[in-house]
Amino acid sequence: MTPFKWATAVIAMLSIAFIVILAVQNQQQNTPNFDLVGELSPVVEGVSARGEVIDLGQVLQQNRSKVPGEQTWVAVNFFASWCSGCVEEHADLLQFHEEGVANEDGILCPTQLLGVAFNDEKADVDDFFERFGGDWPVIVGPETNQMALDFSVLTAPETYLIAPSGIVVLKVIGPVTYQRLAESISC
Amino acid sequence: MLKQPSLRRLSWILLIATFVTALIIGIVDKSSEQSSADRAASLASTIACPQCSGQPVSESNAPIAQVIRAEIKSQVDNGLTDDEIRSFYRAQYGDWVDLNPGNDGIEIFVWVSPFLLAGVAVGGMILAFSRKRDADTNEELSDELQERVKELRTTYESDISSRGENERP
Repeated sequence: MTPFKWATAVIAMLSIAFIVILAVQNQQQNTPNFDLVGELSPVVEGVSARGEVIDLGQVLQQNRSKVPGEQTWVAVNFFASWCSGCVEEHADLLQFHEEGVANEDGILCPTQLLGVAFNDEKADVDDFFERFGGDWPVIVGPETNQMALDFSVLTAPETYLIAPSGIVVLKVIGPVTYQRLAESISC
Repeated sequence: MLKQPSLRRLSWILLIATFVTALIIGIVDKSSEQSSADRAASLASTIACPQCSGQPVSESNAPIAQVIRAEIKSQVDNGLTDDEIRSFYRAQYGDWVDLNPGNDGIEIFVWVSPFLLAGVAVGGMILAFSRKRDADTNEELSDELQERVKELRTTYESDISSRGENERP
């Protein structure tokens, strides 16, 4: 066998090995950040559709000066007016917002629901709430893009439950239920 | 009509001229300033939409692709480098969203292999041509053929000398 043939054979074998390695590699491997559960919550800060200043950091800061039973649990809900799953979960979010969550002794645990508009306009968000009810603060505007990416959101709806310490304890992709939120809260 | 050696020389000159022109255009094109919109578009074409399978955000209409496109533009406007922007999306969704192959590990072969193949191709051609030239110029005759050539030469020389004698006045 001539050196030229040897070189060709080696290159062919290397090419085949390269293709096989690429083919068997698990390409869609999400980072730990994608899950977020057990991690410190990213920043949630902005102005709501009604002009209120929303700051998750401030809520967490206030929690530090409170006893455990009085500390606030925050549910951050990424939603959009164009999303059918958001309509589906809306009644459960209404229940969470209006009834809150009680512990085993029937005492209400302080909770707060924050909405973040995902790829949506203020006018459409206003229409959505007018149609389906609810008056919890919803952050709208260009800063919501950064928030969605910080939470590694894929699409709406997605909901994150943040413990009083600031740690994310639950991530729900798709419509969330009142039950899922309630069973993750303790005070 | 051009003679064979001139044609070969002309081919080499053309080949070198094409290579040098391509190299100059490549360097000039890279050094020219890109607008922020161009940079954002270029990045968007090499970041995969996390909700789609391998499709870049520039080609996807998925809501998350629209969000990423808008955010890339904002990140570029805020002065983040291409590497910083890529790192951010890799950290949020995984390495697979970066459609540009990396320059370490197995991925380096993607960058190296074209040069490797070009080198092998050029080397192979040079080797093949030099062998052909050697074969054309340095081929040794077998003993039998050498004998035959010697015989023909003797016959030819005797023919010439006998013809010369016959032609004398």
